[in-house]
Amino acid sequence: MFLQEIINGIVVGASYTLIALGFTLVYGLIRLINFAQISLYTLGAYLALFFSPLFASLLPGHGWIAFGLSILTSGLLTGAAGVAVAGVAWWPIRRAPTISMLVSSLAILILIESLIEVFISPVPEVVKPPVSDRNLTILGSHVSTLQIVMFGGGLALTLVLYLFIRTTRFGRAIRSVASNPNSAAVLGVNIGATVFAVFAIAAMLAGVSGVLVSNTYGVASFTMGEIVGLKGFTAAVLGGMGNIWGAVVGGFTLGILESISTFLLPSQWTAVVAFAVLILVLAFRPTGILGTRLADRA
Amino acid sequence: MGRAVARIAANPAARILSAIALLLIVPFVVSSSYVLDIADDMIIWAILTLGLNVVVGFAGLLDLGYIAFFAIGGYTFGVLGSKLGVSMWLSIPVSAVLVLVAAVIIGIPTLRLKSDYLAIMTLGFGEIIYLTVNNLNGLTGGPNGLYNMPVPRFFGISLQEPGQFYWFLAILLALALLATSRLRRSHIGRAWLAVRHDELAARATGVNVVRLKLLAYMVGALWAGVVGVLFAAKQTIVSPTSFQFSQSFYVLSSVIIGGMGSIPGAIVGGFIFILISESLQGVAQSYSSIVFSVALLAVILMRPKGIVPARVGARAVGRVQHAPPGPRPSGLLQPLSGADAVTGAAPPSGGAPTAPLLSVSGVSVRFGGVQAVRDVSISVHPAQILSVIGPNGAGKTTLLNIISGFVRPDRGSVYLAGRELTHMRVDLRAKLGLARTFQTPRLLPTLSVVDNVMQGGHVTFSPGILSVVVGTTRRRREERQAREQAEELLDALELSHVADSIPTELSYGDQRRCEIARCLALHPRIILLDEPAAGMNAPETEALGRLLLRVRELGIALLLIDHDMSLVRAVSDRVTAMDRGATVTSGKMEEVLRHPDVVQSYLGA
Repeated sequence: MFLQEIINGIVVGASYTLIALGFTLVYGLIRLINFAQISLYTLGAYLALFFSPLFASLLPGHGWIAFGLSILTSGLLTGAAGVAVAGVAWWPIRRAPTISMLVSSLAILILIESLIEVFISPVPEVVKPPVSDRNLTILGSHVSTLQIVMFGGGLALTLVLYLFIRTTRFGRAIRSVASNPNSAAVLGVNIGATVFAVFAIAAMLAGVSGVLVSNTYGVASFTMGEIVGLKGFTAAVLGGMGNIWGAVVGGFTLGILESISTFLLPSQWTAVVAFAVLILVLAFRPTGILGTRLADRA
Repeated sequence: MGRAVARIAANPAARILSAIALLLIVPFVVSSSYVLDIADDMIIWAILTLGLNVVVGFAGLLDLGYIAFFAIGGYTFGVLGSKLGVSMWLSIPVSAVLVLVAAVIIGIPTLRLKSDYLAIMTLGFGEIIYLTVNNLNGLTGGPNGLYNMPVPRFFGISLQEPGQFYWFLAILLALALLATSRLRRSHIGRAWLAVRHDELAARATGVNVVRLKLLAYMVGALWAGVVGVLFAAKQTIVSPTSFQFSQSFYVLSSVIIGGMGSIPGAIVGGFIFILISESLQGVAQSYSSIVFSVALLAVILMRPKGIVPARVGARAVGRVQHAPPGPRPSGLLQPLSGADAVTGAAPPSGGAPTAPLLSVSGVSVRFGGVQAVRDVSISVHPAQILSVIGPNGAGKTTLLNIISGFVRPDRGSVYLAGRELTHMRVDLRAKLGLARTFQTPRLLPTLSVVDNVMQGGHVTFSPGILSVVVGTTRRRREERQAREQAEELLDALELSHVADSIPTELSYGDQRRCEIARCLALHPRIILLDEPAAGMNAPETEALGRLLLRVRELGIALLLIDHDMSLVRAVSDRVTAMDRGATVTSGKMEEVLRHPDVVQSYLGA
């Protein structure tokens, strides 16, 4: 029973990690809490709702390939949406006070959510994954194949992202802009392109996460991102904002904490646990567990 | 006619009176209870917007959970009214106490954080309150909410009808308007704007930033908490849907669309929100969030100051008109004598006083691998000008930051007039009479020049917020005196022709002099000047030198950092030369300049 909760926590933690990574990347680069990230998670889920059946009907009998293609397409399209977000919430007002950027990204969040509500569906949709989800039993605990995919996919994406930022030329550009935009610009880094690309990467992570979560738990709604988004943000802060491994540590820690809290509290209070963690961390250790790599000195 | 309107528009008191008059006319013109019901909602929403405008527009705190205070107000009446039969009237003070307590509990740990973290924290707080009222079925009725509250009565008259409730709401809006605009035009309002635009500069003028933020947060909470009770009474039901995150977003949108920091803007923004959402009610309610998010984006991108932008430097009525700019009567000292009377510092009778005013002994600070300041000791006597010279990177500005409190030294101590400052907060140092200017002028772009100078005198105002809201005669006199003093200072610094300008419109030299005026408004014992002559031409520098000497005659000590040797030569009583973080030599100007190490550090090895 206890092990079961830990496993559930780890699986949920993987989705928090992906969202946390998106927050951390953008924040690390331009010090913006990109609220729109939350709606891109929802957008990803709804895109897959359209693409999964489409690919499944084109490739009968190849459920996993269809699912993979659906994840890929939804992820890429969400990435494009991320570029659009940067085009509204960052580029035109990049010299304005942070508060303007925060509020615009918030406005985009509300806009995307309400567009989904009005034009797609105001009620939760049942999501049927294009693959047959089987339950496995490990050490007496139940794990579904999709949960394993979610966990494995989350880890794999984090690793790819890490290697991308550490080893590629473009990753170096990202790191240089994060540490000092002015000197990066002097050294010939195209700041605009770098920021747009990071918005796209962050959006893709959110979109993929939305697809995986909605398929694993079988439901999507226009508000599905709100609570998860805030938890993803909590995870980023808990691990250390601006720190990639912080997002991982924070994501899994929060997932497990929440699962354990179900022993102590009724399940409708688990969201309160996350917010309490957020408020406590911010109040007492704003640099998080691993510390902020790109901490800004006040 | 047009001029009369313009005169009314230029006078804050007249603006508020005409707004109140308009409010009171409505029920006589309109009899439809549907329209009056909408009018009620408009007023409720306008008060909410006004409250959040204090938090976001004045103090610059992005509060994304503002609706939580509204919820506390609504549920205070909901719970007390439906369970215990407590009246609306009694619920108002109870709610006021509850929201203030909540604001303090949530504010004290969060308001120290950077504004974006604050946004998330307040969002979390809003969600916690929402989840709590949604989940605590026994107390709050859960998702169904609470009803059965007693009908509000006023001397036996039921206030159930929208028309009767309207009067009461209109009076409340009028009071909120009056209080908000008094706060805005007081030293508290100026300090809020200072906090919003430049926390560092605000601290240097003696503003306790966390306290001022908390004050703004509490004022906003109070407005929402009180109006929340009325909202519940008017609706006759409270349920969680009225307090979702989207509602916080709508209030914020109303503030920004109306104009951040603008009081008429808040009213306009609040009214527009209700009008739009009411007109969309029949079509599809979810369209209103689309309309509002698009409108908000459009305003941020195309009209960032909102529909009714906040005014800069509204002239108070009856203020003395200045003579047109021109040659001033000779003797800058004369106008400054007023300031002299309040500094309380006795002008020295020549000769070196015995006790130093400022003494810095053995301070060192290291930034990473750089020893920025190494074992530096200096002292400045009252009414003395000490200049610190040295090449770029010598540690001069760091030394100044140690004295003013922006940098904590690793070792050593700082004393001002016998009090140790080494670990004292920046704003407390300002209270002890330590003022400073910055290498690049840091004036507030949303205040006029004269208001900037008045803001500099923040510490000279007596504490207390109630007297501001009530508008006691003592407060008015204090404000009037501060304004007169600021005008005198501007006069003395030959800036009176730009008193009502926005600082960014001023020339660089004028901005620097305005910063000095702001320092003088603090009634300082000592002013730290960080390269005041930078960017000035020769005649301006010469005038600056004369000004500094006059300031010294008032008994104020000066610590001057500058590269302009003609200025340093003209004003300094003593000079300290620094290089690579350490003192090279101290003494009279000529001796210091002859010192071989100084020669070497300036001419290069």
